[in-house]
Amino acid sequence: MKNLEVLPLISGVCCILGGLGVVLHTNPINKIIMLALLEIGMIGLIVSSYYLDIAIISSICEPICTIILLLGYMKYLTTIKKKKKFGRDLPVLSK
Amino acid sequence: MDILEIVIGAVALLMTLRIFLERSRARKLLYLCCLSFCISALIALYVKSPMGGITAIVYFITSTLSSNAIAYTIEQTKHIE
Amino acid sequence: MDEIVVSILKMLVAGAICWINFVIIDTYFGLPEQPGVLGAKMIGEKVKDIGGNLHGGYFMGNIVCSPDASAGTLLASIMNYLMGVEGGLITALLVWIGNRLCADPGYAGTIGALTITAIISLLKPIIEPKYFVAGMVLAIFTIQGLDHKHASLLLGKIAKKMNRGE
Repeated sequence: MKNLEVLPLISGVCCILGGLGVVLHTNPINKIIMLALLEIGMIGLIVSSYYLDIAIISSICEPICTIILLLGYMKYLTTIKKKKKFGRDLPVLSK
Repeated sequence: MDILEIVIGAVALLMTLRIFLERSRARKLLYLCCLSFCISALIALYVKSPMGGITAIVYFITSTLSSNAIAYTIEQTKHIE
Repeated sequence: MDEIVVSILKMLVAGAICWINFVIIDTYFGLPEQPGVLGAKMIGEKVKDIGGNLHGGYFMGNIVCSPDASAGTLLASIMNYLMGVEGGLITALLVWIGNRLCADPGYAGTIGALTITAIISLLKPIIEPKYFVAGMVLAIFTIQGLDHKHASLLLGKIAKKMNRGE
């Protein structure tokens, strides 16, 4: 208990709660927010063992993968809306 | 363990629980911003060298980029739905 | 035991200084007036829905969506703690780059970093820079984390007093 540090403790709690939240929430944007929480915990765990260059690279790559996920979600929503506007009984992706 | 680290850690723990339990999507982003302030300060207090400061700056700026993208998408999808 | 009380007092004083610094600079550069990016507008309307002020909501949304004077204050105090006065100047450059990445004009961040560097170099014999780091976290906690409704009402009142926003 003597050399217990604060940063690994907080990062571990962030990782565990983020992983649980990705599983439990149902809205896609809530899932993406929880994934951001998990990435925060991951970067904290990398820093707490002094791999600083890897922490810089992974924190640069984090918004890129978030943006790709969000672009995919918006494309998905517009596809559903176009299919609903013509009103045919096509096999839609969401069903 | 320093008294400053304990105070910042308590704030970060409270923010993590509030993100997990909050219902509204927009207010989760406010708590997420406060959490990234806390983690950035903890990184600088843990790694006592200039490279740790550079890491904290790069981490904070990229995390604001990410929450900017999420907020923009919430605004856009409100029009679509 | 006496040491802990002294350090907590130093932290609270540093937090008050940081709070006044970033709120005044952000309000002066017009954050509560209009949302700089599209996401800030959504957060402002959401804060208004739970009973807060619209202009205070725009202020909070602008803090979330781009690194403004609050980020400049935190990062400049970090680099002052680690490197000395040169760190504050490096922070001003990096925060300006980050502001341009988020599509904001970005004068508030650099001005905030430079003013907190001046304040820390003046107060260095009394309050060490590491108390400013913890104080800034407490200051941002009172705005973003504690109670959104009352915080936005307070920010709206300050914005009205400085003629920024209705």
